[in-house]
Amino acid sequence: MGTPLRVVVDEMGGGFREPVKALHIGGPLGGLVPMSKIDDLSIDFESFASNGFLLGHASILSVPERFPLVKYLEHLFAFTAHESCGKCFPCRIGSVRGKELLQKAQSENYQIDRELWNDLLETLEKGSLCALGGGIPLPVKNAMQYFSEELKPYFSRG
Amino acid sequence: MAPVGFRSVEVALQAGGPRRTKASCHTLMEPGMFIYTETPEIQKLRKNIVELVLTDHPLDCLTCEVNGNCELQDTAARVGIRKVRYPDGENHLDREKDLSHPYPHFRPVEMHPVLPLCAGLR
Repeated sequence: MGTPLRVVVDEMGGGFREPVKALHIGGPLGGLVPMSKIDDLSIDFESFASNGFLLGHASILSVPERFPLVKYLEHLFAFTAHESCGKCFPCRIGSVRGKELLQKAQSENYQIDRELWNDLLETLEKGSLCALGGGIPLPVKNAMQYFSEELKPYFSRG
Repeated sequence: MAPVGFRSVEVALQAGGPRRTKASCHTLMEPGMFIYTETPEIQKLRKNIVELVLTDHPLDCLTCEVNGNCELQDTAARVGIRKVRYPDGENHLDREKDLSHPYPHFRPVEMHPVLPLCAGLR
């Protein structure tokens, strides 16, 4: 604990094989860390929490530059929908609707209403009974914050 | 009654503790707890949850046999839903009505076994 993330990635992990734009750290519900934040983080709970991420179980998954982030977010919603036990509405239905909105924005001439999107994330975060539905908004919000330019075409209202 | 499921939401504020949103039918009351059920934040959350429920429900109230005598319809009206903003998606509208249980049958095609249980214990 306390090891700089840069050391874990470059020295222990041997660096990247190809250009990477983000690290998804802490599992599917962990934070999505852009490359620009790597030097700000060390492997401890406080460092991640104070930067708006989540250490979780500390797994590190690289998202390559060539991989569309919208596709990655779609995958996260699909994962949640698949894993959802179905007990509460926000997680059971919200995860499916999130996946569908992202699919529709990619395959049709459709932009997701930003207010609806924020409402969906808030509903998942506050209304879910457990950490599955409650946790999925974190990486999505990280993505919306750090990759706003890449995701812009898929959302309306700026 | 045991905390069993998810029917509506409220804010439970522990004295001296954090303010958290909890499901009212899933949270036991504790001494020193302050409960707010109609803050703007909670009203919005409740409306958004019911809107999600309606994305998997036939929106044909006017021709439905229980029009005017429907708990879901009443709830949607009470939380202020005028329209469902989500585009059409995966749903269960082709399913037969499940009459195998004695709990309310308000065309809840999207209902999960937990919810009738919850409704029955209210």
